[in-house]
Amino acid sequence: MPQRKDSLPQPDPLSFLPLHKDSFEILVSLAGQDRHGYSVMQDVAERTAGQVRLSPSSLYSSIRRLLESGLIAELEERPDEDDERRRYYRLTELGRAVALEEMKRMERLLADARVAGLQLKRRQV
Amino acid sequence: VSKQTLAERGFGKLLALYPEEYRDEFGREIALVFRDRWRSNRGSFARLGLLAEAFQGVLWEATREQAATLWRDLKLVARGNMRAPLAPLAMLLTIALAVGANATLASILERVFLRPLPGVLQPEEAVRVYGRGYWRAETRSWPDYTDLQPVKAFSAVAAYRVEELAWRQGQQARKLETHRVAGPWFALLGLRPQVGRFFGAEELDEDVAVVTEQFWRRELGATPQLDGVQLELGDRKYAVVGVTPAQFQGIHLGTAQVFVPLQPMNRDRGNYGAVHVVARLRNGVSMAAADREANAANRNGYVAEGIVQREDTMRLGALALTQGPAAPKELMVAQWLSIFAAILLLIGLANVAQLLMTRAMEREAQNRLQLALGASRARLLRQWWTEAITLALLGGLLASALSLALLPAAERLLLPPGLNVAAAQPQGVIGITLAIVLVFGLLSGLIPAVQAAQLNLARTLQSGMRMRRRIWPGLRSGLVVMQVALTLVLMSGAAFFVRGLWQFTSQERGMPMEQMAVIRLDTSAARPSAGDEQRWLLRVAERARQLPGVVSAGLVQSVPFASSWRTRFYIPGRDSEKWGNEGGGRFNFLSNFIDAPAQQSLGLQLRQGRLLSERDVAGAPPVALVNEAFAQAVFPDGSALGRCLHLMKPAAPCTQIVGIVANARMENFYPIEEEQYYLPLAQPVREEVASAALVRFRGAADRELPALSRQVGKDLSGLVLVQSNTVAELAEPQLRPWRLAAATFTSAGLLALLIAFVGLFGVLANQVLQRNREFSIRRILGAANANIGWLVARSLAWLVVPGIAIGLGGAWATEKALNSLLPGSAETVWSPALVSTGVVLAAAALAAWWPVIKATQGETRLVAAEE
Repeated sequence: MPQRKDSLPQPDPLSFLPLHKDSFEILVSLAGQDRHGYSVMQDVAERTAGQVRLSPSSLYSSIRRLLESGLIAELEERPDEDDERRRYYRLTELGRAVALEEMKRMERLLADARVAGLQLKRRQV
Repeated sequence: VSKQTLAERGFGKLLALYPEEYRDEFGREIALVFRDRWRSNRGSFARLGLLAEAFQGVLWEATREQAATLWRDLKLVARGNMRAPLAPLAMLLTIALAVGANATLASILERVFLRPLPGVLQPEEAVRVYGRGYWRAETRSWPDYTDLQPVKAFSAVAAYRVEELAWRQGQQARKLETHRVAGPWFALLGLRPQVGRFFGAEELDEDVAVVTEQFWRRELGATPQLDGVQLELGDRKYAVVGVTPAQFQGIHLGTAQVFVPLQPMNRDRGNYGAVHVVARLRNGVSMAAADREANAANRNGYVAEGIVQREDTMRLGALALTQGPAAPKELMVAQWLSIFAAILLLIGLANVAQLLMTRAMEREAQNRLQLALGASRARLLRQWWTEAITLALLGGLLASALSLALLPAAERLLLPPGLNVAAAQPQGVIGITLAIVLVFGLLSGLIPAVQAAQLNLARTLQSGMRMRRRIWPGLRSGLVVMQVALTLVLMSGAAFFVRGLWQFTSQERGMPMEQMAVIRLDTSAARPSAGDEQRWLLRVAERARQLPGVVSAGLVQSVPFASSWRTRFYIPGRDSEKWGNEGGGRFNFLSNFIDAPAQQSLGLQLRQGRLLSERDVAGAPPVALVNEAFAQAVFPDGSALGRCLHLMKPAAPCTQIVGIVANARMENFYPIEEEQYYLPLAQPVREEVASAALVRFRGAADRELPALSRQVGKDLSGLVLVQSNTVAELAEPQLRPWRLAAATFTSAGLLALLIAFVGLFGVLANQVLQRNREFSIRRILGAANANIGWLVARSLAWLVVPGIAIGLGGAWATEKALNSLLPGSAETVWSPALVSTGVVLAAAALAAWWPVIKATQGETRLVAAEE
């Protein structure tokens, strides 16, 4: 697995926040397992019950940005059972740290909203 | 692998919109994902949605990726240029100057020569009747106009005269440019009244007037109710009945303010200056067909009066005078200037291309490295284009600003005051600038881009990154040769105009111009009785003669540099072949009816015989003075004195030539002696009257005239509008375009010389640097400094000699063409092309100075040790 050069200082995860919603969805998808692009797309659609749909082009634009900023990395080896033509991606340590920070940010935001009196009605859940 | 569907293939093609690197990286993946989704969506509705979403996504993302790539390239360009800012600054300056000058001129010329007159409907069908042959003028006689009425090729024919009528009286008095119009004039031009109505052909006997929208706003307070609004013009009161549409300012050179009816004039076929004739072509009729029919009708008119007309006398042309054969000469200077500006643009282009090539050489190692690291050639190409186009666009911004700033001044300089053309629009100027710079950027970026594309990766890997080669030395030299040639053409054009101006200002004019002034009166508002005006002019002359600074004051019909008249005459036995189309042994030379004191005011110098005297009055034998050119042209045997002229008709009584005077240029500055003759005002032929008092002062007229003007104004207070000018003032409009041309062309020439100098210096210095080692070895082997200097000089000769050879051809052709602007100038002392060649050679020698010194001072010890 390619790693960022150790000699380079690790950037501060907070500097990536707030994440673009597509980027966060991709990080969440890759948090559980390594995936190829189409698998990420399917996973996002399943998790959000089809509410978030990434088009092929926007998916790869986000992937490119995540690759460039070192939040995900491309796998050199493919899982045995899969198509060799596909490219697989994995969350990097930095990516995981950034996803966690984004999660915390969202939780804090939710908590603040509740304190401010914003409550979801039961049927809206 | 299953076969691709049509949708998948289409989607694959769409990916070409992405930048190449992005496509290489992710293209296949994106296509695969699309394929998977396509195959998992079975329903047509779902597939349709997928198609729309995927296509929209690619369009959006590809645009973003392209923008991101462009941004990266721009940052690269900016970084590169910040490190060495001198070359890009030189390029920006070249582009701004070359493109700015061109955009300014293009904006002016487009409006003057291409755009139809403002406000005229379907202008392509509206034509003007011009003269042919000798009478190239835009005016015709009244019978010529009436001849055209039955022409079927025209749906309407109309005529007009341009007059300046006095409006208001006393201190508020001023002149209004008025069109007197006859026939269906407004309908022919397709005008619709903004307010009120127009007058038609049936109202030509009535005192009605139509005003322009600008006049209506400014002077009539934009009143919507025209009932009772009157204009007192000259000695008549006109009821204002309508207002023309906004922008319309008449169809003449100047801007008209008022339109009044023109009553039918007398049927004098010889009065070619009577009216301007315009017509509208019937639908589908060609200009050529209408021209033939119009001339046939004109010939019939002549035949009906018993005159045989052998050739066509009229031709149809553009309605706008600036676009027809009688366009003002100063506009031709603007046209020439635009050609020279285009040459400057070419020189600028060559210079920028050369600078970019030098940078390409400097960056070759970097480009090789990029290639070796996997960058595509397309990427390198795009980087060069981005650099060239960015520079061009930045230069374009500067050029736009320069052009917008220069435009008002350029218009004032290049166009006659008050010219009737559409106003300049800033967006038009910016549009023209951007169009020029885009072409400029594409062309200038082409050469280094192609160079970058030709880099050989295999050779790069074999020879290492540091290898430098001389990129297209032939092309670089070719560009310098072109610069030298074009510079020579420009310098030669500049020298031509400088010579013209020099000729204009230094030649013997035959009259004391600096001491002369004219006073003209507009008496129309005073409702003078017959002879009043002449009496008032006499009073002006007498008053002038009382002033101590005045040498003489007399009356003239033609005012030098302001108005000229010709009077026909016949000489038995001498058929003038020159004016063959008029036939019948008729001559038509410049004439001036003057009184005796005016001879001294004009500074006439007697060569033979006597001058006019107070005794040459009505009833006394008719007499004339002729100038030397007249005497030489008509009586080359030297027998002019005592001979008879028959004025107006072959059977007219003899007007005897009693004196021959020196030539004087009273109409223009061209170095051609024009035939001219003088007749006594007291012996009129067609009721000729004086139009001005001509005063000659002891000192400079511009100092003395104001006092006289004030005095005359006081004497004739309330009666007339006094207009006083020095003759130098009246001549100034003729000199203005030449002054301008000499100044602008010299600037353009010097700029071109500077650019070519930089180009020559760059190429020579580069050659010397590259051959430094060779020169050192030659010196170690015993070559003298002179020999090394000779080697560099030979390189210089290879660039300069072909450039001068080509340039001389261009300069010769330019001079030939320019000679039509300045008849007679070819017989003069020095050739602009030769002088320019001398200047270019001197500049070339200067450019070689440093390279020669450098070549002869190279390091020899180190080289010897290395070898």
